Amino acid sequence: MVGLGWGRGGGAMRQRENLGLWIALAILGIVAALAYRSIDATVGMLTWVEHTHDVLRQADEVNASYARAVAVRREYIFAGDEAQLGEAPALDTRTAQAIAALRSAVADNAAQGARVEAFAELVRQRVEALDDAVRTRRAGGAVAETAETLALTNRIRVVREEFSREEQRLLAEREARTVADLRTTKATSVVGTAASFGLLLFAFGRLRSEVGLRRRSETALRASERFLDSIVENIPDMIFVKGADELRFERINRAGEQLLGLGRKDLLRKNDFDFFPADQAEFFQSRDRQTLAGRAVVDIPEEPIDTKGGPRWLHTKKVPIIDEQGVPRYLLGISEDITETRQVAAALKAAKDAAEAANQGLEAFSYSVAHDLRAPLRAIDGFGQALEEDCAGQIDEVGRSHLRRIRGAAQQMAQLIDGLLSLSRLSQGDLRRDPVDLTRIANEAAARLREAHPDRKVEVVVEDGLSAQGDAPLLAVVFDNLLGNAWKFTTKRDRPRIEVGRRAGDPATIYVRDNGVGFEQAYAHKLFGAFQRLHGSHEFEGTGIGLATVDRIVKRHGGRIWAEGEVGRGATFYFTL
Amino acid sequence: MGDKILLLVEDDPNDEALALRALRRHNVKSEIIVVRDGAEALDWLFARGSHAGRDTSLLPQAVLLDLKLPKVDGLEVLRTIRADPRTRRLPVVLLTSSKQDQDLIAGYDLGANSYVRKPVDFAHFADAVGQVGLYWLLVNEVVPAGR
Repeated sequence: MVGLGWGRGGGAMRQRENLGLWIALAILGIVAALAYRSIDATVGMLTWVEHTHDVLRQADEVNASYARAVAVRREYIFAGDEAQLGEAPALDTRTAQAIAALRSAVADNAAQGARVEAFAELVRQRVEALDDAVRTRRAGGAVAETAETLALTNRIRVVREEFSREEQRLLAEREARTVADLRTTKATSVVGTAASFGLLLFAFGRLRSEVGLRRRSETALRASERFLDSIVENIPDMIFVKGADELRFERINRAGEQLLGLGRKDLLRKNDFDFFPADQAEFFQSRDRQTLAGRAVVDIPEEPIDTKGGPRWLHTKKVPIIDEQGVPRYLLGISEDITETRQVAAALKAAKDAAEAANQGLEAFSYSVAHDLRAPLRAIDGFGQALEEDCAGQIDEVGRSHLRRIRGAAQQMAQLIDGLLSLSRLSQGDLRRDPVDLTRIANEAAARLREAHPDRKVEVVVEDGLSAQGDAPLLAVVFDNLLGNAWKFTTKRDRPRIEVGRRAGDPATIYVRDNGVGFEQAYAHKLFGAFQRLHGSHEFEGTGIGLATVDRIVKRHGGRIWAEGEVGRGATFYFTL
Repeated sequence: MGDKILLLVEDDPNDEALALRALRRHNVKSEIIVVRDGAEALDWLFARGSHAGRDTSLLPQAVLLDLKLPKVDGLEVLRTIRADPRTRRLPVVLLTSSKQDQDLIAGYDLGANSYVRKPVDFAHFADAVGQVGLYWLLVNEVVPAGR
């Protein structure tokens, strides 16, 4: 099954980003609050400054109206100018009003309040004294400034100056505090702006790096998609994807387009019934549904398909693609075009069948040869013998010689048939591969020869420890034939000798050497053909089958056989297995 | 005579003549019944068909059985002989044209006692009867009727 990794675990990252945002907002909030408070304080302080200026103006108003009230009276008292004396009551009222306003203005300040009260009292006393003097003057009395008057005036001035000094001091203090507040405000706004600036820069930097990262990952993703695409497109088998719901083609690769003879424009969003005969489309979709329902790969070793280019055979594997929720979403198909492979296999099978039939024909022929061809030979030989034995008295020596030749020829032919049969039988049947003791097999072959020819004295030397992997009965036939040949062709030697061993420096090669009549090296290649003989049967009897049989056995073992010889100097047969 | 019987199953008249000559020359005195195909061999052994009514208690001392026979071949005859309780222990000597014959191996697998290579020559025949334990076949005279 195949799962698609469509989600990405980013919860922790998002949480961190959120925290950063909250911290940034908190910093900006604090900065804004500080700035607001600072400005608020400054504004408060400015109000106080303004208030102080108001108080001072009010105090000036009090002084001015008081001074005017004193002046109009003194004009009358000392210059007898009565014209302005009439303003006195209004001025007094203005003074009282101004004092009342000043009193309320300094209501927050007890000390200044006390000074206002003291001032008001002193002013009352002074105005009273002046009004006395006015009355005195009107009565015709003399008026003079007294020490008492001067002292009062002095005290009024002192109080006024004290009041004014205090207000000036407050003004200075408040102005200083305002400056300090403004400085704080400035600092706060600088810090706040800097913080905003920094956060903005930071955020912008983050944004840029995030955008860059995203762009890079998108580039990498596109490159990876292109890579995967090129793989899918270049796979020489048809690759297709169908949607799980309606089994419509969602994707097809180039090999698929070529195989079906259809472009992907024609294929995509279509289903099998749009292109293929109904029975085929039904088969394809039934396998699709089986794949999706079973959620396992379905292998269809051979399925026929009618394409635009003619009928083809496919080997298809269908794979369900399951999403993270375990729901089959897509069906992936991989189809190999096995049309040619199938044709080759069919041709191969036909050839094999033909070969087997031919082989069976050969076997039947061999069987027939063995049984039918032999029967007349048996009769020739058997009745020849009967003639020899039953009618001995009626046949002279010449007749008996003819009979012997007739029988000999019949027996020779029977042997030839036997040899041919055993040779043909070698091509059939299984070859065993067991460890074989060649030394023992060679010694047994030599023993059989001694037994069959007790009159011959042949020295046979077999090297110890010769072994090979092979079919023991067949290898016995090899040694029977090779030793038999050596035995036969050393007949005319005074001291016949046969050696069996490993070739020096080449332990895989076994040799059988004799000191017999040998052969001409030029004819060495003819030794191993059936019925090939290098010696006439008048010299040495034989069928010409033995070495052909040996050759066949060695080749069936995957080995090789060859011979070296020289006329009169013996022969050596080498073979590997 | 009459109580010593050999059954020779052979379709080739030449081979039959040579076999009979060899047996006579080796002084085999038993009566030799010759049948020419596998079906007749079985008919004779189990007293069926043309041999119906024959006394089946009279078994041959041995069967000389050619492998290649018309109708029912030698191996089938052998299989039937070995399958029937009446003939299961009957000595059977196969007649073969070649000791390379693969049918010979099949014959031994089916329980043949020995084989003789055709044409029947004395050396082979002596070996075969030795293996079957029928030395008395080679005796000149009929075993005295002492029973």
